[in-house]
This record gives sequence, C-alpha cells and structure tokens, in this order.
Amino acid sequence: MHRVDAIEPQGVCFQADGEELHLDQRQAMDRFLAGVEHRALRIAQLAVRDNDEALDIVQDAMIRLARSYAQRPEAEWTPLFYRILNNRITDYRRRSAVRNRIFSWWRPGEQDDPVPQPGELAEGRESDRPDRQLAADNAMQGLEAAVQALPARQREAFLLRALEGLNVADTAAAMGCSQGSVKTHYSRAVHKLREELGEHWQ
Amino acid sequence: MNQPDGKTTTPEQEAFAARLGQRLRDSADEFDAQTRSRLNQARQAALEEIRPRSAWLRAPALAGLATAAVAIIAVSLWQPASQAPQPLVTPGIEDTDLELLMAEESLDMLDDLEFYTWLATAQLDNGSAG
Repeated sequence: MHRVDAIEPQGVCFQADGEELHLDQRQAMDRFLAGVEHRALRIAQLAVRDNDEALDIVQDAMIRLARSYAQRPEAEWTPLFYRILNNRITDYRRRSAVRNRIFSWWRPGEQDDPVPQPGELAEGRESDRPDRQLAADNAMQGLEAAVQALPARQREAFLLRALEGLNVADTAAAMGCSQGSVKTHYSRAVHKLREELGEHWQ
Repeated sequence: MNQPDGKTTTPEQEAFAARLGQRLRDSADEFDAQTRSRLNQARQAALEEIRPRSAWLRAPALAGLATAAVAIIAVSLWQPASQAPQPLVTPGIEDTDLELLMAEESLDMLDDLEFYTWLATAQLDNGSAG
C-alpha cells in the first residue's frame, strides 16, 4: 500500500535536480576558469602588450564562455574558450590599428605603430632584433619580445600548443582553421623563435 | 632538413618549444596579488552569467505538451487565406441580385400577388376598351 506522504510532487523533484545541476555546472566552470585564467592572461599580455587590456580581454572571454557555452560538454570548453579569447584579441588589435591610423592622420609626424615600452620590440623591426635585446636584457624579456614579434597566427599556434599544451585538433578548433594550417603556423613559429633565441635557450 | 614539408618539427625543435612553453607557464604563475585578485573577480563575474535551465522545460512530458500547444497555435495562425471562412454567398449571384432578394418590399409584393394580377388584368381590359 502506497503512503500518500511518500509521493513527492514532480515539480519539486525537477526543481531540486535543476538546482543541483546548476551548482555542479557552476563548480565545474569555476574549476575550469581557475585552471586556465593565468595562462590565458599570459597569452593576452603577449598579444596586446597592455596588462589592463589583457585583463579585460580575459574577463570578456570568461563571461562569454559562461553565458553562452556553460551547457556544452566540459570537453568543449577549452577550444571554445581560446577561440573566444583569440577573437577578442583580434578585435582589440584591429581597433588599435584603426585608432593609430586616425591619430597618425591628426598628427602626421607620428608613426603608425605604438611606441614600444622598454624591453618590448615592435613586430618586424630590424633595428630592435630580439638577439640584441637579449644581449642587454634577461632571457625572459627576449623571449617575450620574440613571441610578440611573431605574426599573429604563428603566435596563436605557438602559444596554444607550447604554453597551453593543446593538441593539434583543439588548437585548430580554437584558431578556426585546419589542422594542417596549425602545423604550418606552429612549425614556422618554432623555426623563427629558434633562429632568434636559439643560442640562449639551447 | 629541419622542415621538409613546412609542417613538421624535429625532436630538437619540439624540445626547444617545450622549454619556451615551460618558461612561459612558469611566468604565468608569477602574477602579483593584484593581478590574481582581478582574475578572481573576473571569474566570479563570469560565473554569475550562468543561468540554470528551467526545471519545467527539462520535464519531457511537459516539454511535449508545450511543443504541441505551440504547434497548434502556429498552424492556426499560419492557415492560408484561401482556407479562411468565406462570406455565405452563392456563386454566380451578383450584389444587385442579393439586394433584390434581401429587399423587404419584394416580399410584400409576393404577399399581394393576387392584387397585382387583378390590376394588370384591369389595365389590359381598359386599354382594349379605350
């Protein structure tokens, strides 16, 4: 014989399950973000060369992932997060390029590129080659400069593979390109970094 | 030799890249307290954006009912104009015929049909007599 008081209203069951799922999801997302946030900030710093902007970019990427993709399987979060992060970095660099161009119209005497901070190198400048910086500064500064001097896609591939440790498939998903492209960008980046830094990092 | 197809990396290059990656990871663990605090705030802000899915929508039966209700409403709203209720007019009857059928005096005339028949006969008789 069934006891009436043993029967729970179904809505209550669903509500309890929902709250439990939500808490699990929130804890899982917390763990994930805590695990990637430092490396993500490092990637953003190397890409935009501004700590405050890098922090804003990482926060945007975190919020976007949590808001839009928390329901997706956890296995997908890593490539999704870095895809969002890379898009934010690209947006920032485009905006910066436009802003610099506008300022250069107002003040024609100034250069398009922002003036590099001490210890930083602008991309592709022969006069500020990383090996000359390494001669004067420490190895870390030279490494940062060399990574910053890489073309954007090569830098993305290198940082996602070497710093974050993603495999080729996840790197391709994060970069929105084929695995073959990832291998090409990564190989060129490593080749270039070795040319620039080799003697100091053997 | 190092890059026969432009896509591969040699073991030496991989080891070199691993050293660089490890150094960058180490530097990522050396953020100051202020930066760590800002990252923590950013993470908490992100977690606030997670919205629980409605418990009711996860119940399969209720979800089915909701889907059926939406489908019925959608079909009723999307019913083609040709199937919409038409005015009750017999095909072939023009508006003027309809007015004649609906006019009250016509019905009166039918009631007095015998009178009008007599009147017409009387007029004919007078005409022939005149």
